[in-house]
Amino acid sequence: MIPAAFRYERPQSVAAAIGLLADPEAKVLAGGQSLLPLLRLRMAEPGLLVDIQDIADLRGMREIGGDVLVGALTPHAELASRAPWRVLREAAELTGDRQVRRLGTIGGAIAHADPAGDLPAALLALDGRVEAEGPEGRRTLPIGEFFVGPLTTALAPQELLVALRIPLPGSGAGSSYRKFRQKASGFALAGVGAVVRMEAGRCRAAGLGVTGVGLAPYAAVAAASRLVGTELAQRDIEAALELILDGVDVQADAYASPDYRARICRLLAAEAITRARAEARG
Amino acid sequence: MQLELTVNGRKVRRDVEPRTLLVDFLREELSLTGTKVGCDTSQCGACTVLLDGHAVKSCNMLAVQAQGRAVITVEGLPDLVPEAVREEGLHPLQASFWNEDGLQCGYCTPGMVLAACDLLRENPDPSDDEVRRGIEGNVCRCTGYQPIVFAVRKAAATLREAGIDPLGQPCGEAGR
Repeated sequence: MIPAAFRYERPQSVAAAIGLLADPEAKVLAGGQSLLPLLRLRMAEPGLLVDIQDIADLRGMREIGGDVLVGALTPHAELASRAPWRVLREAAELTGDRQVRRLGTIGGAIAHADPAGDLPAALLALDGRVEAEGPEGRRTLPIGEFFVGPLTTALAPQELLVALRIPLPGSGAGSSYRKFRQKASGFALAGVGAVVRMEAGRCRAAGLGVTGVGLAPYAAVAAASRLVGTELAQRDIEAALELILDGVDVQADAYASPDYRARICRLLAAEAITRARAEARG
Repeated sequence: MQLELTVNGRKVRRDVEPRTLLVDFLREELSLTGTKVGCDTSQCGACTVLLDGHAVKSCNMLAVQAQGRAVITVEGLPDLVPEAVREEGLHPLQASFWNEDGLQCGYCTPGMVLAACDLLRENPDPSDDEVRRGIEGNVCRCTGYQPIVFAVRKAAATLREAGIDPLGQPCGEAGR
């Protein structure tokens, strides 16, 4: 279908983009790989599209004080080959298909907040931070507070997601993202990102991000805490898996009952943690 | 609005509505009907073109997003490689689909060929599995995937022998 008519602007700076977002009918266009299908189905009919592709400040990855700053316009294909963490590379590689990964961007995927998106799970596992800029300046939000509900985030209407900030791996770190794909859509029936940091044979810190299971991607904080201090032996992992769905309203749809989805989620989590542990041990 | 971009090596300038999809621009405005509309839900890949050398779905992108950029459609593919590498005027990937019967109805073929271009630039010698994964964004409803995989691997061998990537850039020992 042909999208409803809209105005189109292509600002050259973050400040100019934020100015345009003052229009209550405005919507940001990054790679468009989630937005274009919505426009064509006329599920979204914004009056103004603000195409941010020319804004150089939103591109590239660079190190800054022990962290990596990933520009909002970094495409999935680039993340899949160059991201410093395996959990990000694997989540990017399992997003969409070749063509989608060329145009789709990390900022777009995070701001779109699909309940079954892959990159949200990786960023939750990494305990990343979202850098957003609005008329009042720049602020940083923990990713754990970013996803509010299905397709809903903590971004204010006039705020632009400019970058994602994640810690560098360093020694003793390992990570992985595992996903069970719904065959036709390619989206996650469930997906789990795991990050561990090992020191002298014990887990010093851990993060788990889960997608496709609840109403929004979430960090399984209790389960991750259960891993800390252990050697990540089989029984430690199993104990953590008991907690991974705590307080989560596991969703049902035509493809999976809550029970089935929960089972898949635990299997994927076990696999992701085991792979992360193996990588951390080198 | 005024749109200016390069299509198959030629500068193109047209007045378009911002809501025009790139695939409709190519087909309706430029009469480049080699690019197909298969699903209209951005799942089938029949509309795949190259944007600045990378495969993208032209039904999942606005024409205005391509402002100032370079688009290659299946019609422009043969011109990317030297004449000596063409077979009856066809790019090695097209010739290979023809020779290996990598098509039945042919509707998905332009998209398959352009997705394979992107794959072979990244990986000049893919295995069967890597080809299957590399063209996962393209659906063939005649389901003749095996000859498609053959065709892509055959074309890869031809290109390696010629020492060029699918866009005609030198590669192999010389290019690295």
